[in-house]
Amino acid sequence: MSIATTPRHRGPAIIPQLIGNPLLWLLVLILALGLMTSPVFLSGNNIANVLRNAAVVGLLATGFSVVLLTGRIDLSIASVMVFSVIAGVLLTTEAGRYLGYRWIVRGNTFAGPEALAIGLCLASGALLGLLNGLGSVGLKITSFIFTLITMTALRGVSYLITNGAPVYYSEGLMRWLGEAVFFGLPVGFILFLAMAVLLHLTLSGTVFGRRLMAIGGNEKAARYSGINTGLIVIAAFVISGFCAALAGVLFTARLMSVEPALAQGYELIAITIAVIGGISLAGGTGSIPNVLLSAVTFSAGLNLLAIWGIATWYQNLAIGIALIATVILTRVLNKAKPS
Amino acid sequence: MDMSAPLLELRGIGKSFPGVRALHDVSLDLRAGEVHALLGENGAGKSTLLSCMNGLLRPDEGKILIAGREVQFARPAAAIAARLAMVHQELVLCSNLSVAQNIWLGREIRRGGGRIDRAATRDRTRELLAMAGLDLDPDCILGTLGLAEQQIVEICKALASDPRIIVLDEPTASLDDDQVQRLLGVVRRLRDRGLGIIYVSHRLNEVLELADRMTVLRDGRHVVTRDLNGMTEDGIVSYMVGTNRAGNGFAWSARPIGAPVLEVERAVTRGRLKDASLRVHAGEIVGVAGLLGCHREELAQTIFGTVPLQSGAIRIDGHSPRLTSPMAAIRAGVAYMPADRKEQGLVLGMSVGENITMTELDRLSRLGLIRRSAARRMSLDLMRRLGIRASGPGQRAGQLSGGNQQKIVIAKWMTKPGRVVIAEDPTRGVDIGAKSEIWGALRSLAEEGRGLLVMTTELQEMMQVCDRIVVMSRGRVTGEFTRDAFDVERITACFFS
Repeated sequence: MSIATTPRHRGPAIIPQLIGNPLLWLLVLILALGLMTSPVFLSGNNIANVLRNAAVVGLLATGFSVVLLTGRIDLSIASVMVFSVIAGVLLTTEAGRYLGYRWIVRGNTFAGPEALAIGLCLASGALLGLLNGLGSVGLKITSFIFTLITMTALRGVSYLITNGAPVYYSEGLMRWLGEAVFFGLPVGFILFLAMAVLLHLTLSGTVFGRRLMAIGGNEKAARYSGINTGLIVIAAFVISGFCAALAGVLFTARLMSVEPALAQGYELIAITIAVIGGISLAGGTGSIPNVLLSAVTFSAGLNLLAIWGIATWYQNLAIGIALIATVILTRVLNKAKPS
Repeated sequence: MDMSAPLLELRGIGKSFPGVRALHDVSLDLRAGEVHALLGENGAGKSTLLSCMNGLLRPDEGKILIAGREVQFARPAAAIAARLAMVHQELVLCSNLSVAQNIWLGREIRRGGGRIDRAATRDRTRELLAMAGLDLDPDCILGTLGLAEQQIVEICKALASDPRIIVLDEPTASLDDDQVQRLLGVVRRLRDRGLGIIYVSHRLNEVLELADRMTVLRDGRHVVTRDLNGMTEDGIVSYMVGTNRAGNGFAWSARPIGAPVLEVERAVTRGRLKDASLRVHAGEIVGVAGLLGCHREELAQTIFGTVPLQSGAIRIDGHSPRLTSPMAAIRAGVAYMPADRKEQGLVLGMSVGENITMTELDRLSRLGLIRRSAARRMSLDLMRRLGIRASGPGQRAGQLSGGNQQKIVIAKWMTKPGRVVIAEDPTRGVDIGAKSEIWGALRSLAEEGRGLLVMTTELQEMMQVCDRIVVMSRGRVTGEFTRDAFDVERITACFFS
């Protein structure tokens, strides 16, 4: 085969790729079942709820996937998610006290500038990601172990700095983040969508993204090509921490309160969504749009089960079955493809 | 059973893999009470032949006879049942278990109720250890033993299946001289008990000392099976490399030689490199020859910044950069094409284009965004220059043949400005056509005024393309030959000094 006569290579066409995607069929099946069995499932309100939930777990899974793509893991995301919201509130309150304001009012309600609290929350998330990255790269501790440590430690610190008590938000920016809807899409979901698109473009079109994928594919070959692998891995952890903090903000916006015991086990939901979305635990393969689709499918499926009145433990069983089905399906599809 | 028939006979074995003919009409016979050496360069087909013998692979052509009866092994367990046991090059033992537990792993001696019969296990283990002449406590934890003892335990494990044929694949590769002597003693003892032993080794001196006959393979073909009486190491080597290999586009022509671009002076590393000095000039191709264990890879790793220098100096283009990482080495002007393209050279899951441009992304991007058309142009250009046969830059690197993969590893460095190029085994496992194209590409790098340091296992190939050959042995440089003094026997003599 000569190169000159080969037709110009184009990216895989989007439409056939979508049609061939089993996740999409699962989502269509869920929507069809919902339409047939429940009058509320496809109501605007319920769809907004599904998407709000998808935004929280999807953001966690997206950041987590970036770390997975480097062949590492970040178990601390759920702890970071809760801790950074608490940190944002407490840091703002401290700053207020320094300036002579009292921003925690009666009933443990936060009454300070919410934008500042959210900004500090996102910054804490990124910083904790930096800590995870520096710890696993700099100290050469396996990411599994290091993020297990931060996962546990951050829970502990969250209890210590709040005494275990919840902090409430008053009406305002948080309420808006939790409730506003544009063109049928909740604002939280729009943020998730924007983040997913940004990360997808970063991974597919930038030097950083290409190098990150190379590290996941073959770290030694990447290093031998002169790539600063440590720096890129650290950046992946920062992205994961930032996404977790943003997920924390959206999560808090729905509850209008935060407490240290929340969102335990969410890291496992993120792993589930990432794996169903086709991110390889070994690194190097997978795409963010698929994770987005996976998050929406996941939360639509759980929502439908809840509408049907199926108990939580059966819901967990359903998640397990979906996971096994994905794993088997991936293997079958990979075998069918000529390698 | 026909007692006069050889223990094991291979007749006309052939085996092909996609794109490679690994074995072609190979025959061999093994008699009771003999040590039969199986020899050949890397890639000559020894491993494939061993795999055919013990049921890991099924030959496409030919027959395997055991004591005169034709057999077909579907898997290694079938070979063991036919009393053929293989001892692999790498230890496959559990260092946390005892000697006895290791030996009987998978075929534990049982009493009723699935319980292990410890007393019988211990007794049988003692018998096996005695057979091998090793005085050891069967309950001793394997991890506490030295390498030679572990290797002998591995042999005892093979003996536990009561074989008549034992295949030893480079049992001495990681042993020192004293340990080798112990192991050879064990092999002799087994031969004297009437077992047939196939012995694979790169150490020709120990082959001459131990074996009764040898079979040599080259490029997957049977070269000779003969008695070792009166053989010399040089004689074996000339069977292995072949003295009259046909000319095949490896033409050498004089190039202008410039100033030194790489100077290594008395390099020593913790462990392997003992004393290595060499010099490569601009426009020059210098080969580093040596056997397994000469540690020339360590020299390459040191220049590329992955192994720290303990003493000595490395100068590149007259400067002495701090070579602390591949990044630093690349900045100093070193390009490194590793031997193991799958492990170190390529990201197999990525496309040809993505692999080719991996070292050049900084030049092919603006504000961190990859300029796709420029990257594509560069990929296509390099694919054409090197004759990389792929459906396009978008094809996955893992789908290409070995030769084309190797060309990608070279393409990655073609456009970098570095003055020093290290190529490890650039033609390993590729066919003769691809070999000639690869050498052509490397030569064009030299013609651009770079200095090349090449390390291949095929001496004949190096003699065809190199301007100079430096010989290493056990971490030291033991000889240096200019082109007019190339001579197989004189070069190989330095392998052993």
